[in-house]
Amino acid sequence: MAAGELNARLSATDRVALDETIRKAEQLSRVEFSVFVGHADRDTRAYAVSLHSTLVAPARSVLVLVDPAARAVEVVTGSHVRRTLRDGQVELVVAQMQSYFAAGDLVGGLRRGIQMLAEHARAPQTLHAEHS
Amino acid sequence: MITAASALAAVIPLDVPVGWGGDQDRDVNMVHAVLVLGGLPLLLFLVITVAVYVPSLVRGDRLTPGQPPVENHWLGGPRTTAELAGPDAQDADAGGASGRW
Repeated sequence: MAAGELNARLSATDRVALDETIRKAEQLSRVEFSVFVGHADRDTRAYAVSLHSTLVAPARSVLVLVDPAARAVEVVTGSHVRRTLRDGQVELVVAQMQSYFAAGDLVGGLRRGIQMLAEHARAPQTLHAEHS
Repeated sequence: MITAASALAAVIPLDVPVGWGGDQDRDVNMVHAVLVLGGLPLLLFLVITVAVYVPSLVRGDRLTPGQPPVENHWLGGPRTTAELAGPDAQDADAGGASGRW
């Protein structure tokens, strides 16, 4: 494998690490995370949106699609998620993931991206003023 | 008339090489022949096959042609159906971002 080429094969250890990252992200943000790594159609955006629509609760879900062959990454956020996770924030996360993928680190990019998405998607905490 | 061959034979004696002559040397051991003519090519075939496939197996490359170049992996949230949703069923307000590297 050439330097920087992304290895699309996920080992059992990789899957466990990603599952743990997804679980923690969901606990943090109360948003469903799904990751698809594989072959997408030519129009990766439309394909990612279609996959996102197959989820149980698309409005409350975030889909991360990575097509290593096409060197493409797509993040689709549901309408409810977009209330706290802005598209501009997602673009920054995608840029961060791209740097990992360009270095050949698929799992690291996915984990970092999911963590960042969860932090941004977390609903802002309400500050209560204490009254004496 | 002296031809070139006869002249050469006069200079270099063209005797039958040792081991070529005589009836006793014409007996061929069949087991030995089968081993040489069949066993060696088979052994060579196996060595070449191992030399070609073992490095690929060690690297984890796929060996079966016709399979998708990337194995699809789903992680996380459960899906309601394996069917892709049509345009009408898609979340109209879906957002996000795209990127390539």
